[in-house]
Amino acid sequence: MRCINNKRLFKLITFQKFLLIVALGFIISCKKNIDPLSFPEKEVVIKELIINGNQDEFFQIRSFWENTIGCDVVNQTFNSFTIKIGNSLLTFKPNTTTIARPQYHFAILIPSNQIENCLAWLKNGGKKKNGEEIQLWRGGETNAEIIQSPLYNSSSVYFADYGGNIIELVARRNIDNVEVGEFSSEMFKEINSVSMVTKEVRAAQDLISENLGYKPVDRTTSGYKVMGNANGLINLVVQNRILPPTTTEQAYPYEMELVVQNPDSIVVSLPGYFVKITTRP
Amino acid sequence: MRKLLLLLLISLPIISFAQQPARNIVSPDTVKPKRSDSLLVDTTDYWKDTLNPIKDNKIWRDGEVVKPVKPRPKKKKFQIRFSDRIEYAFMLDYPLTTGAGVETSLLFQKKIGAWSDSLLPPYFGGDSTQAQRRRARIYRAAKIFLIDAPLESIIMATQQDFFGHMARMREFELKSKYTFRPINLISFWKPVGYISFDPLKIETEASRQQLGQIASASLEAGGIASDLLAMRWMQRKAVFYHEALHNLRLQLSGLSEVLTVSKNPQTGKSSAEDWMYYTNRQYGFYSEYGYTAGNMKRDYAIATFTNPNLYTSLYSVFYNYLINGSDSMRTPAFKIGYGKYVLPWVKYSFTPLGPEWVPEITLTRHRHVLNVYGRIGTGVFAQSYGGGIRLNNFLRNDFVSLNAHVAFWNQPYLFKNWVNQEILTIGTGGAATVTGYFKLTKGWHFPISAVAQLGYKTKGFMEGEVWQAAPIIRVGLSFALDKDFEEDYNYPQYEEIKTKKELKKEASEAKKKAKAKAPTKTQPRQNPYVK
Repeated sequence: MRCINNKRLFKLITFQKFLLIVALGFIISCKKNIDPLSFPEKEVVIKELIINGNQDEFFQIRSFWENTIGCDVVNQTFNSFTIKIGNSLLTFKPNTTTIARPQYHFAILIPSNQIENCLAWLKNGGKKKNGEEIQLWRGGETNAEIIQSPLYNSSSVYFADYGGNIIELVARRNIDNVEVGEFSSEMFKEINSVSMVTKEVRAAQDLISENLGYKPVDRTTSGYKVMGNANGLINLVVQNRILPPTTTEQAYPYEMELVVQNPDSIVVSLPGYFVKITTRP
Repeated sequence: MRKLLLLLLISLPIISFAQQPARNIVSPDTVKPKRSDSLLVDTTDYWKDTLNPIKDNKIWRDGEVVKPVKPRPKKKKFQIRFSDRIEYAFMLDYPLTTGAGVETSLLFQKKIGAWSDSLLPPYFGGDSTQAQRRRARIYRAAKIFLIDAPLESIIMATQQDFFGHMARMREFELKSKYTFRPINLISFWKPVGYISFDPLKIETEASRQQLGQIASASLEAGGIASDLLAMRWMQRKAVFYHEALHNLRLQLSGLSEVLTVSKNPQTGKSSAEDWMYYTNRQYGFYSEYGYTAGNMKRDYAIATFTNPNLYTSLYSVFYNYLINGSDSMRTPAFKIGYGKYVLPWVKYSFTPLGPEWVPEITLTRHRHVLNVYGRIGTGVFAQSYGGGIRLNNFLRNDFVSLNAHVAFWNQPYLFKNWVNQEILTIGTGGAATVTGYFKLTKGWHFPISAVAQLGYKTKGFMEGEVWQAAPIIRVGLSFALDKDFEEDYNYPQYEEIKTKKELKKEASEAKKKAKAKAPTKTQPRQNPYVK
């Protein structure tokens, strides 16, 4: 019987191992977790969002929200006004800082089946129906009008209000809120998520978790942390990060107050400037 | 399904009858190789000394010892075995997929072509005079445009509508009613496969991506058929007229479909336009398309006009058949050795994740085929890539021949539903299948095999397969319909070929043996005849 050549056998085994390691490395490098995010149980119920606007543009901003979008103005004072977006309120206050035009990002929830109608509605001029397209923010990488986010299981359309804010109309697939009919601002459900800009995301996350009990969503980065669940979210964004879907607009901690539902009265000021969360029962 | 099986059983004797070619099939395998390996040596110049310790050495008359001339390595003569014949399979799976359907449609295409040729052979009344040849060309032109091209249109419509659109509709379990476009028999360049449905109803039942997939299923079926034919041509190394006509019909249909897409694509016009409309919408492009009609026309034209199989088909139909009256020709491919050929081409694939380039290279060694392909997504909608290897006839004997296919891919998501917006997360996936053709009869006229294709695929888009992870189980009957092997086995048998390494090894072993046998001290022997 021919005896086995040990040297050759050794060579063969080492070569096969090398190939196996290369193949495994290739598979591991290809594999990344693209499953939709799993959200914690506790949602952020946004009662009101108070943001700043350029005082010189106040009239136009109000007119935009009232006449073009079609939201009701529920409260108006000498230097502020409040509009109703579904179950939430959006208040504009005059800008007290030296920054001329603050820019915010927040999302409004719409029925999950209405995203295409919503885009058509925006392109047709909203409530005015005059065919003048409301300025849309398109997907930076692809230039798409409707941006699919399988990670969040949602589809979004972004538009700019008169103040240049990035307003997202989001249809979340895992929320059962299908509505049939012609799309209008009456289908706005609530303010669903708000981007809060801070210097230190980790510290802000800890503060919110301790005081309000919201849990962060796993697999969100340290520069962009999401807290809450699909029914209500807070996006903690590190300063100077590019705000999606744009490729140019940087996040900046403009003055902002977010009022969330909570039985106890708590004020949480995020590290940095004038960004805070207050509560209302 | 039962009716189909019954129909198959009844028509089995008719289907399984091998085709008698009009003339000898032109293929390097079917040409008897010339014997030019014999070594002619003039024995008058030398004599062999029986006492010489090394037997093969020759000693010239002047006493000089000459080492034997090394014989040239023998060329391998290839004989087409019974098991090497190309199999035309009737395959069934549940639910009936495009992959199995196209394979089956090509069986019927082959059979219908053979019947057409037996009823109306490519030449009549001789072709020895110029006048006879002229008449025959007119007759063949009439046959192509009035009989064969309409027949191909009908076959293609079945292939694209029944096994393309309908297979995908069944897969996605859609309930909306649909209609097919009637087949235009005269305009042989126009597309045939098209499914039309009420967009208002169907858009609520499926995601935009699924609708795009249903729309492009005809082009997908065409791509699979085109690839299958090209691989058969490489395996057989001969192109048949009917196959060439079928491939030409597929290419023309695809080209005319894509090149007529309007600048602002809308649904309800053609498959390519529907695919473009729905895929753009799935990925959020409404007023301006991310992938425009111009981009698609450019890419598709590049892929089609650089494909050598298009020119092979044109040459085969219009020169080889129409002018020369021959129904087979050698496959043009790059020769890289004895019986070894290689041919690359690029395919354009309409996937639900956006357009993909599929560069392919096919290598053949006699009748073993290796096809390696890559899938490179253009990334206009979603980032995707993949590739695969197909091995045809990699193992064969008198009882079985085996094919194998291994594929992998990396894709992000597939959208399963629009209203609920269900998604299918994919990531890295793959598929592996083995197809076995088990010979049932060894008859020359009725070469029937049982075919079984077994494998598994993970979730993700793969041409001709379902989106979900599923086992691939296909069974059926297969018929080796080409009469391209010798019945009486008069062709030269396989001759044992020795590689250079083996020859060297043999030579060194012989030397060693000779040395061992030879006496340690040998006196140079005097030749008594030389003074």
